[in-house]
Amino acid sequence: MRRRTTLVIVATVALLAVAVLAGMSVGRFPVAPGDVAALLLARVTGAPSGVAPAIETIVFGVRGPRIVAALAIGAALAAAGAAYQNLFRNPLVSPDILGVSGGAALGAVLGIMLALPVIAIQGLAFCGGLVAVGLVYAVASAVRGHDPLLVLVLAGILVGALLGACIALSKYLADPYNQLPAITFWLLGSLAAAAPADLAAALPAVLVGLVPLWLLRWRINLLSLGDEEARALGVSTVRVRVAVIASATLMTAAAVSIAGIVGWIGLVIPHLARTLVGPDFARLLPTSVALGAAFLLLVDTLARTLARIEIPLGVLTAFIGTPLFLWQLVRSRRGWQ
Amino acid sequence: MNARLEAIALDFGYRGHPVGRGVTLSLRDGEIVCLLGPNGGGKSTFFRTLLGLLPAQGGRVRLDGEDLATMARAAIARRVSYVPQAHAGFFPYTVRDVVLMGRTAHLGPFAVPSRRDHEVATGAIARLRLDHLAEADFTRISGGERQLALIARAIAQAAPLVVMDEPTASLDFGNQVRVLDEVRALARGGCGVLMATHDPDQAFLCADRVALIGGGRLLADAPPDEAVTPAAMRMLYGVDVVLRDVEIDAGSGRTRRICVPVGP
Amino acid sequence: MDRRRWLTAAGLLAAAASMPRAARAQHGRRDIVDAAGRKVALPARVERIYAAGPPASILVYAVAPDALLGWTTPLRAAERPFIPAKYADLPVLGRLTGRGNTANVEVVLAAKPDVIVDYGAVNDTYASLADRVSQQTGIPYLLLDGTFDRMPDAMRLVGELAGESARGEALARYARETVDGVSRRVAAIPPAKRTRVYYGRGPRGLDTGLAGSINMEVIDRAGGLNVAVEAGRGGLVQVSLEQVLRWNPEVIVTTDPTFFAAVRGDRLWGSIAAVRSGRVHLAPAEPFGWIDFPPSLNRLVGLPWLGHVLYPALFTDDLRAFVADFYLRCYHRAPTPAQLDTLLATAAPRPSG
Repeated sequence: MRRRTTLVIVATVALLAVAVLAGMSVGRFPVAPGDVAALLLARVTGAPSGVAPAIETIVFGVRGPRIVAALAIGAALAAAGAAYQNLFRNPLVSPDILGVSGGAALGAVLGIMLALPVIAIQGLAFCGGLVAVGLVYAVASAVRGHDPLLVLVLAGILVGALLGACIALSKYLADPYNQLPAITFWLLGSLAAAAPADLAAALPAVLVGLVPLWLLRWRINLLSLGDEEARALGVSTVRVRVAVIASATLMTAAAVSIAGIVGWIGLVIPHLARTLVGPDFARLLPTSVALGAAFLLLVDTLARTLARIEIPLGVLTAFIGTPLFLWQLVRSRRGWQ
Repeated sequence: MNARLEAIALDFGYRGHPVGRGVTLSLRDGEIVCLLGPNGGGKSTFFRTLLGLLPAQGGRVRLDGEDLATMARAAIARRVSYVPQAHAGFFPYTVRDVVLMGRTAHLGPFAVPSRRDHEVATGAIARLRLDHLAEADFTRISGGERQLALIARAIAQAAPLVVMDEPTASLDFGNQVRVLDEVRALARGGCGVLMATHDPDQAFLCADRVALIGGGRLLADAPPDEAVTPAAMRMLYGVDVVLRDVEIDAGSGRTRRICVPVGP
Repeated sequence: MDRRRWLTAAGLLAAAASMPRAARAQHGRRDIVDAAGRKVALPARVERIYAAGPPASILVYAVAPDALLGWTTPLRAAERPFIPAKYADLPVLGRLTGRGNTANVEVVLAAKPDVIVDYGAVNDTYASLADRVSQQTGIPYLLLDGTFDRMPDAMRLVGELAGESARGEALARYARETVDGVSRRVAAIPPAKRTRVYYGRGPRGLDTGLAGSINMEVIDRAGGLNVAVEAGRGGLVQVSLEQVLRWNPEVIVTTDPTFFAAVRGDRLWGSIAAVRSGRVHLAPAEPFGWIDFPPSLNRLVGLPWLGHVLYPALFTDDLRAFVADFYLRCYHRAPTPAQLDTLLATAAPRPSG
C-alpha cells in the first residue's frame, strides 16, 4: 500500500498541475500560453512581463482567482465528505447531510430578496450554513437517543426538510421577474463571479477547517467503528465528533457561500480516493483533497468553455459525477466493504 | 499490576427502562471471571455500564478505586480493554489497521501510531497466529478470524483488564478452543478477564469464578463448582442438566466437570 | 268598455313583463375572438375587470383604471407615490396564470368580475388555462397578445371593452407614435455604428439576456446591439466576467441596484469601456420597470430613455417632458420635479473621477 500511495500522490499532483495550467490557458478571452508563462515569471522575479495590462487583468484578476476558488472549494467539499463518511459510518454520506447547504442556500436567498450587496449575501449564506448545523446539533443533543449518529442524521433530515420548505416559500414569494432568476442561478452553483475578495474570505475558512481534520486523522479512523467501540478504545467521541462537524461545516459553508450549491464532489471523490489508497484517513484525506481540487477545477474549466454561456456548476458535477460513480461501483469488486 | 474493576450495587439499564439492579461484582488482574446468563438477561447492558459506555442508573463502578464516571476515556482504556462481538464494519481496513486501533489509548490526541505501536500490533497478530491475514481486508475475512483479530486488538491495547462479550459465539470448535486458550494465556500473563459466555462448559474450562446473572440480578458469584449447579441451571435457563466429572488425563487423573443437558 | 280596460291592463302588464327582457336585448352580448383564437362571449358593458397577471393589470390600469378590480402583487413602498391613492389602495387579488398561481378562485369569484383579462404570451398552455378558469368560474376570459407590436391593438380593445374607447384610441396612437419615433431615428444607423450594450442583471451583473429574449426587446428596438448575441439565441443565462471583458461593451444597462452600486468601484469591471466612460445606467423601476419586466406598456417609457442613453447625439428632445407626459397618461399622475430627478438620475453618463 505504501508504494501504491506514493504513486497515487504523484499522479494526483501531476493531474493538479495539468488542470491548473489548462485552466490558466483556456477561456473566452484569448490568452496565449506564452503570455501566461511570462506573467507568472514576472510575478516571481518582479521584472515587467511585457504583456498587455488587459491580459494581466484576465490572468490574475479573473482566471487566477477562479482557479484558486475551484481548487479550494473542491478540496473543502471532498475533505468534508471523507470526514463525514467516517463519522457516519456510511459511504453514501455527503457533506450536506446535516443541512449546511440548505442553511447556506436560505441565507443567500434572503440576501437576494433583500437586495443586499454581494458580500452581505455571501455572509448570510455562510452564517446560514453554520446556524443550520448548529440547530441540527442542538436538536440532536436535546434528544437523548441511544445512537447519537442516528439522531444526528434524523435531525439533519428534519432541519433540511424545513429549510427546503423555507427556500421553496421564498421562491414563491420572490419577485418572479427580478429576484427569482437571480435566486435560481445562485442555487444552481457557479464560479463565474469568483473574485479575489471571495478568496480572501473563503480560503482561510477552508484552511482552518482542514487543520483539525488532519490533526485528528488517526482518531477519525476509529470513528468508523461506532460510538461505543471507539469510546472503549479510548477516544472521546463527543469531542472528535464536534471537531469533525465544526470543521466540515466551516469548510462547506464557505464553499457554498462562494459557489452556490455544488453537489457530488463530497460523495464521489472520497469514494474514488478510498479505492485508490484505502480507508486510512491519514492517506484518505490528502488524496481526497487533491482529487477534489483537481476534479472541480476541471469541471469548472469545462463549465466555462464547453458552451458560449456558463453551464451551472452543480448541473455539470452531477452529469459527470453520476457516470463516474456508477462506473466505479460496477468495476470495483469490493464495493466499499 | 494491581488492577481492579468493581461494580458496587450497580443498577443498570436505560432511563425509564431498568434492566438490572444491585449487582456487586469485581474483577482483579490475574483472574478469569465467567458471566453466565440467558439471552436478554442483561449481560451486554451490564458490560456496557461496567465499561462506562452507558451511564449507571444507580450505584457505581470503580476502576482502581476511582469512580469510573469521573475518568477520561483514554485513562479508562489504558486500564480496561473491551472485546465486543465481531462485526463486519463498513470500510476495508486491514487486520493490521484494526489491531493498531487498539494502541489509541496510548497515543496523544493528535498522534498517529509510531514504530513502537506497529511493533506491538505485529506482536499481537503473531501471538494469535494471524500473520497470514495481517494485510487482509477485515470485512472479508471469516467471522471467527474477525473475532481473533479483535482479541489481538485487545492484546495490543495492553490493558491489565479485559472484558469480553461472548467471544466464542459464531466460532467453529477449533477456534473456540483457541480463544479459550488465549484467555487463559492472558490470565497467566497477569491480565484479569471478565468473559460473558452462554456455555457452562467454558466456565468449567477456564473460570476462576462464575457470576450468574438472570433477570437483571446477580444470582451467584462463586467458583464454578459451587455456582454452576443443576438448580442454578434450571433457574437460569429452564433446562435440566446433569454434571459429571470426566477424566481428561489418565496419567494424572485430572478431571474436568462438564454440564450435560438432559432431554425428556 | 270593460273589454277595453281589460285589454289595456293586459297590454300594460305584458309591456311591464317584457321590459327587462327588452332592456337586456338592448345591452346584448357580443363575441370577441381573442389573440389565441378563442371565441369569448362578453357582456356589452364591462365595469369590473380582473387582471390575471402584472402585465394585464398595468394595461387595464392605464386604459380603464376605474374598471380595474385590483393588483396581482402588492405595490411596494417605492412604487406608491407614483400612483393616485385611490388606485394604489385597490386590493391585492393574486395572479391567476403564468408564473405561479397565487389567486384563490373563490377570491376571483367574490370580486364578481365581468371579464378576466390576461396580457402576455399566447400559446396553447395559456389558452387551455384560460378555458379551464373560464369554465370553472363562468367568467369570460380574454387572452391578449403582449408583444410590443400588438400593444396598440390591446389598448384599443381594452378601451372598447370598458367603455373608454376614446382613451384607448388615444393611448394606442401615443404608443404607435412613441415606438415609431424611436425606430425612425435608429433605423438610419448602420449596424457597424450601433452602440454595443451589455445588459447585466442580478446582484453580480452576470445574468444577461441572449438574442431574442424578451428582456432585450426594448434594447433592440432602441437600436442597441446586444453584445451577447454571439452566444446564440435564448432567454436568460449566466456568463462569466471574462466574457464581458472580452465583449468590452460601450454601455452597460442594469436593473439591479446592488450591481449598479458596486460596478463602478470594482477593479475588474473598471477596465471595460462602458465603466471607464461612465456609461453605466440603472434602469428606473418606479412604479413599474422601464425596460424589461413586467413586459407591458410600462416599457414604452424605456424606449426614448434608452435612445438617450445609447445615442445622446441623436436623441436631443426633452426626455424629462416626455417622461412626465407618459406618467400622466398611463399612470394618471404627473410626477413631481423631485420624482423626475430621481427617475432620470441615471440617464446621463457619469465618468469616474
